[in-house]
Amino acid sequence: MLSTSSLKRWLFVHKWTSLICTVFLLMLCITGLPLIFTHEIEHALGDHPEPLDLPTGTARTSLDTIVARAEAASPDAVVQFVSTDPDEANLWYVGMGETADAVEVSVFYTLDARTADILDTWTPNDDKTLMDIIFRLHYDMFAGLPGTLFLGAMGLLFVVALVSGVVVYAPFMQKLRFGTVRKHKANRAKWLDLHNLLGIATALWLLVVGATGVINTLAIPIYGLWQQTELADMTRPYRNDAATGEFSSAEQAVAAALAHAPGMELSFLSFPGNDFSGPHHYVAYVRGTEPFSSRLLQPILIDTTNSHVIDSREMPLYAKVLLLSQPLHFGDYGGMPLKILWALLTCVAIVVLGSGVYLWLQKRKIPLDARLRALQFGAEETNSPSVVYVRLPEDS
Amino acid sequence: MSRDVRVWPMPVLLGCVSTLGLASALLADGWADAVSWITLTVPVLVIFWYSLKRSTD
Repeated sequence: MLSTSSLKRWLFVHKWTSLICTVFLLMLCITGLPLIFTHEIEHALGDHPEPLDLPTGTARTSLDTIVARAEAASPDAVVQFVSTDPDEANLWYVGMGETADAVEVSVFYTLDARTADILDTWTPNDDKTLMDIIFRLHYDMFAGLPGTLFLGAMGLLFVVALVSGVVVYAPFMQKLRFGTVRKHKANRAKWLDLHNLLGIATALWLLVVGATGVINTLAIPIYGLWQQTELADMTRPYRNDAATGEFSSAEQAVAAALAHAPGMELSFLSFPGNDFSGPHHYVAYVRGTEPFSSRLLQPILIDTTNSHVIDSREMPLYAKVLLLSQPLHFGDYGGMPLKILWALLTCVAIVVLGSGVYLWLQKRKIPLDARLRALQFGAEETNSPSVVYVRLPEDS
Repeated sequence: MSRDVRVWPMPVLLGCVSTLGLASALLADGWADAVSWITLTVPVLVIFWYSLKRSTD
C-alpha cells in the first residue's frame, strides 16, 4: 500500500504528465485510426498505383531497364534508391534527387517490374491526398524533425502517465471488485470507474504502442548514428577512391547481394552518394522472408565498378529495436483482424484520454486532501460535501 | 494488506494475455496470427462485459 505522501506524488505525476500530453495524444489517436488502414484506403481511393494487368508469370525486366527508364524520364535528376514492397511483387519504386546526396526526393516513380512502364509519378509539389495530410499530422504536424521529436516527447509523457496511472490504480480499487462500474452513482464515480477499467485492461497495449511510437520518432537520429558509425566504418577504406561517375549494373549488384544472403529478398538498393550508401558504393538492404526476419534489414556493400559484394554486417541492436518498433506501432503484422483490433483499442484509448480530462475538470472542484482522506476512510469516491470536508487531526 | 491481493490478479492476467498477443503474430504466421487475434480480443471483451454489466455495488 502506498503511503499518503507517495500516493499524492504519483497522482501529481499522473495528472500533469496526462494533462500536458492529452491534446496531442487525442490528435495522434484520431489520425492514427485511418492510418491503420492506409493500404486499404489508398487502394480504395485509387491513390495507390496498381501493376498492369498481365498474365501471371510474365517475366520481369532487368532492374537496369527500370533505372534507365526513370533516368530518361527525369534527365536532370539522379537515382538515389530503388525499392520494393513485399505486397507488390510486380512494382518497382525509384526515388530520385536533384543531386546524389539531396536530402529530399525530387521525383518518385512507380514502375511495372515487367514492362518498365511508369505507372505513377510523384513530386513534392503534387497536391496532397487526404492520407498524406493525416500522415503528416501524425508524423510531424508539418514541422519536420522538430515536430517529430516534439511528438516523441509527448509520447514519453504518455508513457509516464500510463505507468503512474497503473501505480495509482491499486489504491482506487481497494474497495472495489475488478471492473466495477458504479452506474447508479454520480457521473464522476461512474467515469472514474470507466477510466480505471478501460485504462487497466488496455494498459499493456497502450504502453507498447506508446513506447514504440516514441522509438519511431527517433528514426532519423538513429539512422544518422548508424550511418556515421557503422556504415562510415564499412566505406572508410574506399573514401579516397576517385569517383568515376559510371556505375556497374544495378541488376547484377542485387543478384550478387542475394547470392551473398541466401533466402533473403531485396528491400531497397541505395545508389552511391546518399546517406544510406557510400560515396562509391551501392548498398543493398535485404530482409528475411519469415514474419520476424522480414522486419529486419541487413546492409550489403557492393562495388560499383564490378557489382561484387565487398562487405556485409548485421545491424546493431539499437537499429533492430527501431525496425521492430514499426510493426508493433502500426499493427500491420497480423492481417486485417489485427488491424481491426488495433482500431478498437485506439477507440478505447480515446475514451481513456477523454474521461481523464473530464475527471480532471470535475476534480478541480474538490481539494486533493479531501479526496485522499475519502480513500483512507474507505469511503467511495463521491461528490458529497460530507466526505469532502472531514478533517483529520494532522491538518493544521 | 490482504485487501491488496485481489486488486492485481486481473490486470496482471490481462497484461500477460496482451503480451502474448502482441508477440505472437510478430514471431510466426498462420496459427500465430490467430493467437494474436484471440488474445488481443480479450481486453476488448473484458471492457464490453464490465461496462455493459448491471452495476451491483
